[in-house]
Amino acid sequence: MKNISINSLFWPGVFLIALLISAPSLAWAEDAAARAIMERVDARDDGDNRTADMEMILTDRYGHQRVRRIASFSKDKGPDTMHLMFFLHPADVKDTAFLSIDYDDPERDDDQWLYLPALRKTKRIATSDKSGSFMGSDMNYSDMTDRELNHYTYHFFEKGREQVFNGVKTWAIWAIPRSKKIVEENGYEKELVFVRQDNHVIIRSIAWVENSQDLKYMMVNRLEKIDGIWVATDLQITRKKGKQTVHKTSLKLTQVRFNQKLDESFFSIRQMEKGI
Amino acid sequence: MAIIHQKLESVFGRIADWVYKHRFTTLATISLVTILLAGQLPKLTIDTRDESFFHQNDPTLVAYDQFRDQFGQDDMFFIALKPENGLTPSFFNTMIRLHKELEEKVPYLDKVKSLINGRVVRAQGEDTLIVEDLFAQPPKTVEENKNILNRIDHYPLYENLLVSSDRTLGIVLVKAQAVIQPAADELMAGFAQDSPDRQQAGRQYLDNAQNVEINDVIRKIVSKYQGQGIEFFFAGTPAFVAELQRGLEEDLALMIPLSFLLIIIFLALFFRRISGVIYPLLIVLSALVSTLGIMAICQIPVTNAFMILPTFLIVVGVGDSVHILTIFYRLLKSGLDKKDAIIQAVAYSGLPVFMTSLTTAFGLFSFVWADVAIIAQLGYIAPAGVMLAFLYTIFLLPALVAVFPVKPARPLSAGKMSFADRTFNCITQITTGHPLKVAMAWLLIAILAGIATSEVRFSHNAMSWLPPGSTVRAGTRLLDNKNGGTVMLEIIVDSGRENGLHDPDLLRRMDQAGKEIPDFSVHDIKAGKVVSIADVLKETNRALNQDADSAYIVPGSRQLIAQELILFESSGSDDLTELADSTYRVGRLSVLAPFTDSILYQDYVRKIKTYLDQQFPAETVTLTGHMALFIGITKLFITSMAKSYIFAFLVITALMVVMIGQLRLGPMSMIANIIPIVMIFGIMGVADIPIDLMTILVGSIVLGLVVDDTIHFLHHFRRAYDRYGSVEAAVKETLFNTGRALVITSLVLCGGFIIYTTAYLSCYVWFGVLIASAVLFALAADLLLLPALLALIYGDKRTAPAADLAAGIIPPENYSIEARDTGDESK
Repeated sequence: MKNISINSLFWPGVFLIALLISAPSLAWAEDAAARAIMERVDARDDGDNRTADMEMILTDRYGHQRVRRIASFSKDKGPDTMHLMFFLHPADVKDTAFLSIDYDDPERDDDQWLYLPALRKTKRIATSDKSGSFMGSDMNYSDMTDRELNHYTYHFFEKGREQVFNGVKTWAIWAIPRSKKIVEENGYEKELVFVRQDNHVIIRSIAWVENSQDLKYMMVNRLEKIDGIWVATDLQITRKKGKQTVHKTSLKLTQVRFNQKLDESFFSIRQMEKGI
Repeated sequence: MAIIHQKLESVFGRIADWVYKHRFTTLATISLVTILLAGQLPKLTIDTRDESFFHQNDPTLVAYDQFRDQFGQDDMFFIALKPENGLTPSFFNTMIRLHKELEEKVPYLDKVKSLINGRVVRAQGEDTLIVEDLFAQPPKTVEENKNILNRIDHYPLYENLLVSSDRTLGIVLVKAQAVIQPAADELMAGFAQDSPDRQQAGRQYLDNAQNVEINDVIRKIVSKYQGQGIEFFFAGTPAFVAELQRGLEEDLALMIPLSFLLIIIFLALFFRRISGVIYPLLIVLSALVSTLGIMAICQIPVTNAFMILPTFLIVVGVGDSVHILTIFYRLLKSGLDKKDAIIQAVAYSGLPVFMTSLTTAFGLFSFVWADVAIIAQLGYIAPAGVMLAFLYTIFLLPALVAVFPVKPARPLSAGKMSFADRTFNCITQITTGHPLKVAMAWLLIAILAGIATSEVRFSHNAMSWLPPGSTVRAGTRLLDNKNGGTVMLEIIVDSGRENGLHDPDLLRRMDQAGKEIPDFSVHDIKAGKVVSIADVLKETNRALNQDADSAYIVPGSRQLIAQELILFESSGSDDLTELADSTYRVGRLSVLAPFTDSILYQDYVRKIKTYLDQQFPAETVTLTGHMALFIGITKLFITSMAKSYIFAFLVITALMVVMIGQLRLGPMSMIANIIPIVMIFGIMGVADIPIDLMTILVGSIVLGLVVDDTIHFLHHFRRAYDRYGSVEAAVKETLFNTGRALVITSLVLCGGFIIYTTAYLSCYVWFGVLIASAVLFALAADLLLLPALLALIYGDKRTAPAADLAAGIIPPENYSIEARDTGDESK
């Protein structure tokens, strides 16, 4: 079974595969048609050897904003995926680098390293918990890594399997984690994803945050076909408590390129310390 | 003025006449209104939170709300686990199960914190950082258990917060959401962009009912873990608020029936008639229900201050009926039929009852200007209740008399004077015979009481309201002694610029404050724990340097600070959101201290404030949190007291002048009403009873109440004096006619407030004792001081009738309404 790769849509891919638990949900029978759609999402070409500049705007409930600019690189290595990110802005964290290897083997924890230029040290970060916020954003680590299709059951949204957003037809599908462990690892109890019917890209999703009343709304604002691959170049994730926005993350990708010359050696501690 | 009085009396007579003629219409209308208002009762809410003391625009509350919006609730539900055999694997196993069950089942939950999920960042080898919970799985071996204990020792962040310093307690903290958001109308609506208006709509802070719901669920969950070698204790503001609500409900459930029972007994003994019991009872019950209905409509919650209202309305309201029925039954005895008797009784007593209701209402209305919000609310609803009781009396009583039969009265029999009349006779002779001596004796009492008044102090210690054995009080005592405390003082340091917290100098100063504040000790208040972003950075910095203790310091450059914060953010922990705002402009220092009297916090916080002003000269420092709320409440007490007492005194004095109709009598009469209040404060000074939420109410309430007797007394005195021209004769007739009613209503009031001594919450006990005492003092002043003052001010105009009265020739029972109403005083 091929994983849904985060490279394809990068961040949206993240939300693609939502998880979920809950005893009652386990009783929900899987819908073969819904699963077939998710398999098509999974099978879609997500590209390789990608480079992009990313702008992350973090907005709190008062409208205070923080802007982070990051140069990002990713490459498939067999079934695994490597990511390397360099902070460009703000000045205090410039050249800070983050390297991660997302292993296809669900039993193996991902490897993560952080290079701190002020300390001139690279540290490997060992954690199995992917439910925490990723760098202060509204995504967590699970959103950045691939998820196993077999970890979830899928069935159509009971209030209508088809949903239309701005004239675009989507399939509305529940992604329910098969076990409590998956929920705890990824931090979501369940997710409702909306898959475009014409290209099988997830353009919206709603994620139920574990042990919380909060919901995370992911919305793709711009979808571009770059080098034949669909890429969400502008998306927004809003964490809400009831009607109130708790926090918001806006992600914009520019200079997205696939099939770049990225050697495996580029995804190394030496490169982190050397910079770009 | 006398003409106006006569006209007003005729108005009340005409009202009674109209009601008697339209008795069924009146009864139906009153019943309908009462039933409609009673229908609102289910909407009544209870609020015992500390925030309820503040007006919405109070700067202390505004600062606290801003804090809660940013960082969430500062106060948490503390569950202390005291294992019999210490921190063993079995204990940790139980703690994990409890922690997870709380996470799953507690409503309105923000997060559960305990040793289970205390986040640690540590070094492993040369290049690896481990980010993990203190322990996620229960230790299986002694060795694993030892490792956990060692780790707890290594992370000072959790000592005195999640585990006591002597390791006898493990603490589970349950933090509720500060703001409860209404559910999104529709799932898909969440994709819409928010407008500020939309975000604010329906937004509310955690309320009492939700707080109690959390408390109930927690206690239910914990009950399942009892008896497994672990003793459980509860503390923290949410637990305390729930306990207060329980006390409030218990007290209401006990005191309202007791008040009615008291009224029934008094009325039965006094009137010895079924109608004399049923009618006043119906009237006060209707007034009470209607008042509560109006509260529900106006969304005024039941609060600790409100607690005085039901019993107060019952005993005060019944006084209105007693005054009218006393005359009514007397007129029946004199041979009038019930129609004439009730009309003339209302005509005769309606005005003084109206005037006394007005003064009582204004005494209570003085609370409207109180800075304590729940007292101000009382200032609106209590006067409304008093005036409702008056209206019910004026309209319902004649209607009831008209509709239902009244047992015929036995005719009056002439004979020797009763014990009461002999007593009144004796009082008259002493007070009017030796007015100067009597007045000097009262002056001496007033001076002595005034001296003792200087010893009275302010206080607000709501914990002391609970019985010593209450679970929350015991839990608070334990956590205050063994752990860091249970009350938070929040220090908000605003650097004034984005990423200001990247400044190593500022962070070092915050770190220093975190170390030095726990050394401050004022009135035995000593912080057990201070936490800030500096602690997180020090821990991360140590982990980045192979866990060397020498690296447990704030990093030296802003770049390193910024990068370590990125590292911490990347570690998956969201702890930073509780320690700084998202732009790193504002940081928070949380000071955990023991629960004590709010008045003592003032000096403690003043010392901290002075220190912070020096420590952060370029930054803006704001103090908030529950400790700041407590201090704010104490300050509000003082200003509220000053405002309400001044207002009550001025307005009631003015009312007395208007009602009595003589400029010199008004202020003079106030002497007899002020002295009982001075005596009460004298007692408080001697007995070390502080001015707190409840006793602060005593002055204005007492003033509003005790002038009632004075009004009744002077109302009758003025007539009698005009009639006889002799102070002695006028006093005697006044006492013969109204003395019994004055004594009875005073005893009813006294008994009503003594009921408060049965309260679960101790704050009502002193309140009841003091007001009951004040009522008795006021009765004594009206009977013993007022006649003396009148004798000093007034001289005799005529003597003949007075001599008759003094000799007992004109017994009080021969009082003739007709004679008075026609103004024919020669009869």
